[in-house]
Amino acid sequence: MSTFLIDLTRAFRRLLQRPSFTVAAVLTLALGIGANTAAFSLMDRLLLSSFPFREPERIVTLYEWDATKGQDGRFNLSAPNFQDIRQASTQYESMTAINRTMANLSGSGEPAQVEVARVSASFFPMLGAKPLLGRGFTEAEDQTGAPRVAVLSYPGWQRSFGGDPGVIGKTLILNGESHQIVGVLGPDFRVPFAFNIDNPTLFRPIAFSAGELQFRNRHNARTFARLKPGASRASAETELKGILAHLASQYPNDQQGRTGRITSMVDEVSDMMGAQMYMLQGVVLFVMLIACVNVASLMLANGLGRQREMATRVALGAARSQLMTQLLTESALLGLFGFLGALIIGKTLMAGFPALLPANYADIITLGMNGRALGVCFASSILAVLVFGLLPAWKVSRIDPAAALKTGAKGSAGREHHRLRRVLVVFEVALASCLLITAGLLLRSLAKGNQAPLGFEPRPLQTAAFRLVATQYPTPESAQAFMEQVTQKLGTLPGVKAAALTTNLPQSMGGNIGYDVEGQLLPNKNQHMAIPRWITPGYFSAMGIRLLQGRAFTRLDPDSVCIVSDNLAQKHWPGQDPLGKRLSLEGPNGPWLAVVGLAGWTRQYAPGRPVDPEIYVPFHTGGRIQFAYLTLRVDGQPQAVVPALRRAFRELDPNLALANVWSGAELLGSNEVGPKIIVKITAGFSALALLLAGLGIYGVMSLLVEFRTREIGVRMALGARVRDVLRLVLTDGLNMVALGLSLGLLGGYGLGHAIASQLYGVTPADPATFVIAASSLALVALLSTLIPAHRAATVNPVVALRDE
Amino acid sequence: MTPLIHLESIKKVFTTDEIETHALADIHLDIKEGEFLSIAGPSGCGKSTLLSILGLLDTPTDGTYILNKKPASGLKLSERARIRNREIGFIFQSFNLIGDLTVFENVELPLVYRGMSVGERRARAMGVLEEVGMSHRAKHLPSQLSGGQQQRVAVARALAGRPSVLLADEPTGNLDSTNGEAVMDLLKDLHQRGSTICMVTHDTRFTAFAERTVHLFDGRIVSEEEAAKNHVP
Repeated sequence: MSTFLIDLTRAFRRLLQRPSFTVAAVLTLALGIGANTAAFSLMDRLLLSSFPFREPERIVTLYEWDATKGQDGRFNLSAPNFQDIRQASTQYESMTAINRTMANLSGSGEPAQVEVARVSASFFPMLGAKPLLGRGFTEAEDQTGAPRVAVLSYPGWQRSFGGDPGVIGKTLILNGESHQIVGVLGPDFRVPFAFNIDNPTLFRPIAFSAGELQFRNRHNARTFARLKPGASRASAETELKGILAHLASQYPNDQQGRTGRITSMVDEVSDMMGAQMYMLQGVVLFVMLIACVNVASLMLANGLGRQREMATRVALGAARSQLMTQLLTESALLGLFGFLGALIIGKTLMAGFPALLPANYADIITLGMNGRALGVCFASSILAVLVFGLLPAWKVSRIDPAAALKTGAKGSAGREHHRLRRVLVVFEVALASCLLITAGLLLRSLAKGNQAPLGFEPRPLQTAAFRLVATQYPTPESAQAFMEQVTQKLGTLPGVKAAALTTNLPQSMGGNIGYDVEGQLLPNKNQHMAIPRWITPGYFSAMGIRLLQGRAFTRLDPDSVCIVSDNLAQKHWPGQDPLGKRLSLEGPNGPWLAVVGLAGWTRQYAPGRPVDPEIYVPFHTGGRIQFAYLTLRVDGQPQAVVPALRRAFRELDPNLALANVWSGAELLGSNEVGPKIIVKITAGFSALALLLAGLGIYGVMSLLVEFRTREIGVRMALGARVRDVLRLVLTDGLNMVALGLSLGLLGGYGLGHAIASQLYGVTPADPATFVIAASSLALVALLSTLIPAHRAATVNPVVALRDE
Repeated sequence: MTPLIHLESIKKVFTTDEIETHALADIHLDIKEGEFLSIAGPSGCGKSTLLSILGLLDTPTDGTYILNKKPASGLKLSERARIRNREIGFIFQSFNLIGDLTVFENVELPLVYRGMSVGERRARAMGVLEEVGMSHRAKHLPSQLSGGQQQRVAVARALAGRPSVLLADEPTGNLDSTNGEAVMDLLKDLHQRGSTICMVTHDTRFTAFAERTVHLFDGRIVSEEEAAKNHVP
């Protein structure tokens, strides 16, 4: 048997012989590594899954960019620009567009509103995605008038066709039109990009219509391209700017002042979630470090008890490298057990994540221990072994054998170990307090955000979305007539106080539109941006939005009126009466819409982000509107009206499906889910850090008491009372905690400033957060120190003095 | 005849803070191959420090140490470990058997560090256990043995590597008189079969087992006594 195998089998036996040490170390490691793995899986699912593509570093996103508007000046390409740029560019292997929308799916059981992605024929090949069944699209299919075909996503295949392997060649009805299924994608396929947590149910060719190709100011073609080998992002961007400059000279009305920008996948993720991602990684690192410090501390204690054994081994001729190998083998074995425990804990935590999500998302995110998570778990274990194993192994292997054989654990080496363990506790407390402060700031920020004015009353409110089947409502009149029926019927439902329709809800990430203000035209054909909403007359009542001036719409309003939000009025007509002022949604030459009312602003995004101006237009002037949200102000619980709502819709149109049937609270919960989840995870990790820090303090104090048993015996023999001993031990423990806490508060202050951009309504030095964090840690530290202190105070001096 | 161990002007000074403690001063000592030497003296006289230096567990502050015709000063840690493993066998007062290992595993440990093959280790370890009369306890843990039995195992472990010299630090210190005498009989027997033994003891009953006794006091050799005659250096 080789020396390594001997070390391994003896290390295994040794761990079995010390169940309490082994369980403490393995549990701590499993918690640290398991939490790390679960957090990684979540990040992987939410963010990194954007990259399961062939050579993702060569995939870029193309934007038009209005440099005068900074980050807000970034737009997707318009359909005609996409075609022109694709034709003129030389830097790409292929370029592809995607446009996501909702549609009614029928022909496979109950009709349903599903998300559909229209994509170029080159979409799947460019990403390197190979369908699980069938094929992708051909160029011929990506033309107007081509036979209608569809590719199902894996979840779409499972949901709508029960995973039927014979689905290829079957037909489905999308918005009343028959489509032949030509392919099914694999389970790992993800649509770029990045924080979309669900795939569309199905894909169909984008085949831009002649109508779409008319408008260069409708930025509805999200564009991805694969760089040619040798092409760089910089060279592609230079080319894009050149093409757009040429387009600007050709189409000055739409393209004047527009340039181009190209971003990589990493840039995109970083823009969207960078801060949160780094924060989560930081939090995970802290917890891992605390766990490692705890285990290192345990290993040092364990090593301390083995001073004499190590000295004997040295006397028998063991080289330092042999001792190091033996101790590292033990650490590695602990790491292996920790890894196995982490798999269980990681899986359990992953199963618990949906509880953190709003109910309407909980069934979408399913996390599993995939290969990447397993890799991270394993790598974390190795890292942990190196962090917690090396220092104790190095320390123990450097013992002075002559001294250790003479004094055993209670010699100078013991004192040195205790010094090191004290340093580790200080470090651990500092880390835990940093984490607590960060979590506290984020939680308080979230709470403040939840209390922030939304501009509408989310309770009790019920909302839902629906899309008309185009073939059933082919004209503006038929569509409007149906919408009118919907409003009428819903208004009479029991429990409904007000019902209305809108094309866009607050808190639902709708798009912006350019507008011009009479008498305030921007140079170079630039436009102001606002959120447009086509609304029925009862919208403000149904949503609980304040009408500050003027009037709401009536069904008799012409198409030349609008209502604006107060922030828009303040921007353009400060100190003036906005009523009667005019603006245009279709360019500087009108037609002009006269302002007839002034409404309070509503919040589209999370607190802390700018509130966009809003322009409301009468719904009935919007022509053939096919997609709408309904909003119902109700009495009592919003969910109570849902059955009647569904029934009413079935009576109105049995082919029509409702989507996003959300109460006002669910609507709020669905907005910017990612950052909220991360705040909750940070809070959970902080609680874990607090627990681990408590265990660490307890471990060190217990050992220190054991080390000082004889001293305590002497003190008691000399007349020390119980309270004197208690004070002695508590002072010792709390001094360490106070030092760690001081460092942690300083660190927390620094971290608070680092995450200041993520905070709303809370300053990085928020006194309440600091007080709560410090008191929580002090309380845990006190409890962790009290038990060893009590043990010390009940030492029998006779036994203690004999015990040498 | 060249002595197995030659110490010349050995000095050991411990420095803590600003206090210097002279543990050993001007030690001259030769130990011949096959000799049984006893080092005696009161507590704190430097006996154990001298034994640590002899066993390469510690280094002298000054002086020359020749072991088996090779200078033992200025060696690298790994070289010292190798010499300890091959040339020296330790027997401790408190046995220092490793509690997690069986009797057999304790005895084979120096051979494991030497990188010996399994078969050879097994034969050698069982052989020395036979020699000390403990082979029937090979699978037991140290905690299952009496003090005397543990010390026999410790002697077997010291013998397993077939060292040039056995260094015994108060080998009877933790044993009752019966077991103490049994262990001394074992050492005497080993000496008669050719082993070189250097034993530290302050028990005058057992110095008589040695051919020669050196007396230490305040870190210096104050007298040397051969069996049956006294000699003052």
